[in-house]
Amino acid sequence: MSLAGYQRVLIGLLVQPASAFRVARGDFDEADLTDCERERLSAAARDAGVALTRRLHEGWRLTKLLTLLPLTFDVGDDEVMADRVASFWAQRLPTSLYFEDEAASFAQQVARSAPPGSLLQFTAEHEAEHVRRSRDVPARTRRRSRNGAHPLGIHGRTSD
Amino acid sequence: MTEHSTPVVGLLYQPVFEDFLVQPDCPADYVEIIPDTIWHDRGAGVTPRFVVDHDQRASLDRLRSRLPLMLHGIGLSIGSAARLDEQYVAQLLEWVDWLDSPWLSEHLAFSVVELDEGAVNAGLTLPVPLDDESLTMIGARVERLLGGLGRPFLVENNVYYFGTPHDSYGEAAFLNRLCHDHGADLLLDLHNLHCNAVNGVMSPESYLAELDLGRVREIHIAGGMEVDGFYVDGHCAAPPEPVWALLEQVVPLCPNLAAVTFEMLGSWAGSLPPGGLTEVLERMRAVTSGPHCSAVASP
Repeated sequence: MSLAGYQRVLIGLLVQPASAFRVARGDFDEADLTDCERERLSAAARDAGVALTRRLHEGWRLTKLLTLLPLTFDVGDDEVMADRVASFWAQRLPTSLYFEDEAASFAQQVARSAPPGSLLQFTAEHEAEHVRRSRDVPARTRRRSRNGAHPLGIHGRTSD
Repeated sequence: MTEHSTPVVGLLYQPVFEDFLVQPDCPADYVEIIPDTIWHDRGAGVTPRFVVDHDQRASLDRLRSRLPLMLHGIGLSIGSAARLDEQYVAQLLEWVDWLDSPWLSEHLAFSVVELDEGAVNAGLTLPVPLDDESLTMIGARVERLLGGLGRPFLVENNVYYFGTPHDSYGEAAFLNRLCHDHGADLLLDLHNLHCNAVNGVMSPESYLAELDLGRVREIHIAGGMEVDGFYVDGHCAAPPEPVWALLEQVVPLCPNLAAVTFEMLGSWAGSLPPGGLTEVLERMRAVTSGPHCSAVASP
């Protein structure tokens, strides 16, 4: 199904910026693309609107890290943190709309690369643990089955 | 949501708006919620997959005690070629039923692809090629959703920052086919349309002339900002005047319109002046309740 391959390459233009150079040259990893899809992707790789979309994607992803790890970013040097984010993203693709796992992994990576005993190491370790714990909080909640209670434990609208 | 409490103007839920929404004199008739921001999806194969923490549960309780809720999805990725996530669909259908949302809406877009190592989510509504392959795939999914919902499924027009050469359809024609051939209805996002106009993608006049406005049940309005020479759908401000003008133009032409929703991210709430939300909602009400709008329908 070549539409699936087309979409993989298109998302690659956003999450793996280096792929844009290859795609613009007509160099595709996907073998089963139609000529039309190849033309669409080559055009997209050169399109300023795709560059904007990549920026919006990165802004969305960075906002999640900043929100979940405020102290780590506060303590860390801006340029160092920017490098850390770039190298982290190069190794890890965005997998969902939820970023607790990504933030915890990133904070762990920052802690490992920070000078031993530094405030940055301490802060990143602390926030990695905090994010992991907050991720596990929902396990205390209830979810409705098809014939069971409401997913939020609310028993009918009349109780509102 | 019944004929006794006809929703006319509403606000997209953001936690920072909660106190405003539960005030007795809040001018909103309903709250639109994005369920993906309320539940936490722990991923396919994890049990339980969808969970809600105590704070979110309390917020939803508080909102429901004051206003009807309407569901607007962002995670379905109806245009993904790889697959439709049936676990996710089941969760959506369950919540629509439980919250008695008058309909479910989603975007004409894809955001997820499947790689050997798992899913990749761009977090953005990326355009699908507007051709027969997409139409067949998305049309079948619309029918699948309608079969489970037992109420309307609305497809929202997208915002386009880049083109897709050799599209077989314009977006209006594509949406019309989804409506007429597969039973969809429409959520017309006027700010998306405005973005597309400002960025030179399409003409609102010809778009609106072609789109079957009889299928529009809901309208979204919002504000945006300039980024790198583009006008972006940032949900970061009050609607600009051209969006208000579009709303005034379109509302009388939509005989089945039931709701108009203002979308704004909570992180930008400070950019509105004091009373800004009330002002926007009251202006929306003035437009929708004008003498030319007597046909505004109940959902």
